[in-house]
Amino acid sequence: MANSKLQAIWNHPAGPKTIHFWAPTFKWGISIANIVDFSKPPEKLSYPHQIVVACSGVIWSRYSTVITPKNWNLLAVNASMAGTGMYQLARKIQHDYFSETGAAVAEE
Amino acid sequence: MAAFKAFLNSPVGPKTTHFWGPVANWGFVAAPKNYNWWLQQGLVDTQKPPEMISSNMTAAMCVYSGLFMRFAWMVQPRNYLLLVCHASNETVQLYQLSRWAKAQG
Repeated sequence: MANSKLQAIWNHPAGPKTIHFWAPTFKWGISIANIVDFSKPPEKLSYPHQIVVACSGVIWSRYSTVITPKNWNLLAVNASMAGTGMYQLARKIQHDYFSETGAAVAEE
Repeated sequence: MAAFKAFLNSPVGPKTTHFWGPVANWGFVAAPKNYNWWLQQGLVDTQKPPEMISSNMTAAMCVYSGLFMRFAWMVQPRNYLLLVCHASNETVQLYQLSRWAKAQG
């Protein structure tokens, strides 16, 4: 029974024999890199870059549901990119405009 | 004019996500002042000295764009815009890799 389930995954149109699997899987590396950057001080974050990460994550999430084959792996990784991008933006905005140390920065 | 209208209404045109996905990818190339170590990779950085090139990140980007070029070709509908986007990134990254290799002496 487990065998046939595994076989179903193995032979899936977006399964590990296809590019539809490996491209998004590799993209998880980028998402993880952004998660690693959660520990970076907000001064070191870049607004344009995180905005691009968040927007492209949202657009690509939608994209993964309108292509053939529908790609849940791609959806997951891009939803994660959007999430990490928005979190980083929130951190930086919080630091620049809503904290003591940041207020001086924002006023420049 | 007719060709432009045909483009506007095409199943991979600007009224669809198939268009805006690849457009969003150009943001990574163009976004200025990349403070992130893993995105110090765009066209701007071809002007930087080779000592600043990370061979790990550049090689990873080569694999990444290679994979997505194949993806863009195989996906339905076939996405030439995405293919071109990743082909250009691949070119830039391979160029950076060659600059790094040369600087190794």
